Amino acid sequence: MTRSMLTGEFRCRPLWAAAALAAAAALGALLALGAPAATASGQPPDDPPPPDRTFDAPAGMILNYVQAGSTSDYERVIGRLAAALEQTEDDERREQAVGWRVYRAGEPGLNGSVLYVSMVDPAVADADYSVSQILNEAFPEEVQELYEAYIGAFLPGSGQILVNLELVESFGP
Amino acid sequence: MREFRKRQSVRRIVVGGAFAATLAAGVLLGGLLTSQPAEAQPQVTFNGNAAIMFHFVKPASQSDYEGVMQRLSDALQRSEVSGRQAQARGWKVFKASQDFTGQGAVPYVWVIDPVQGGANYAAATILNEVFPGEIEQLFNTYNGSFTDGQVKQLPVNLQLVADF
Repeated sequence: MTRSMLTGEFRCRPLWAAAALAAAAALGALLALGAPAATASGQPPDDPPPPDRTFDAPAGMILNYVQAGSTSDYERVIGRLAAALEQTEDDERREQAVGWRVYRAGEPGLNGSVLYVSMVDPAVADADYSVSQILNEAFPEEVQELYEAYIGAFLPGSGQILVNLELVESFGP
Repeated sequence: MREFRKRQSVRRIVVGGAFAATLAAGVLLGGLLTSQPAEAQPQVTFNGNAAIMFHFVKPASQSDYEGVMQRLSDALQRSEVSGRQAQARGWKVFKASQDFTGQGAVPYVWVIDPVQGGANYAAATILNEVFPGEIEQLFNTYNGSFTDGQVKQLPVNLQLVADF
């Protein structure tokens, strides 16, 4: 009995598989809608506007959709971001760097897009994770070119999706 | 710098207009889902050096799901199966603050870094190894906690690009 139940856990049901595209499209839509909401949430009306990319949870991630032909541009900018964080004298920036990694999804994407995931754990409260801002602080003479390469790498019409994350379980000792 | 700031404004518009392209990304994720093979036994493996797995849970079943994750944590710590301890070290479970699913679900995210190549990350299998007497109840609770929507889980294999 156990075995049969276990077998059912990850079985691809035909209807489920057939409808997955539509459901995932809905997921994509909600991801997009969730992005501006995440930036604006919890901000008293009289306060100054929040920085572009902040997390209000102990961890977070940013999903980035990049054109396949522009992955080298994107990764070059991420390399400069790493250099900026490595040489910064700002204590908050150093703290940000400790828990920040960037990954590339292995699965090929629709229309040649490639998903990059910025994983931030722990997130530094109220710190601005805007790539362009950090680059501007470290490389003001390069920022224009880097910014153009960075923005130009994204899938047309796409952007970033910020997700705040609360830790539920850490399985490590 | 002025041009840079002007372009930052343009970027906000781009971000605000992400709807269509992210739809496409959703379709991409759907493509990943449909490519998951049916397995004779629950088998969840990852081929990158890291991975994330989205789980979409009914709002009313959050405590059920989290209870099973707690038992999974117990199972990983008590397991005598080779490699389980190594799996546990790089495995965290997070809950997303926002519902971005469109299904009225609560997204949970497994973040696994590093992935143990070839290791089976199926929760039911690990639970069954350590708590065979509880597995029916645990499995029913776990399986029943997922949304009734079509997208219940999304695995994404990852390669590290930069560790700042």
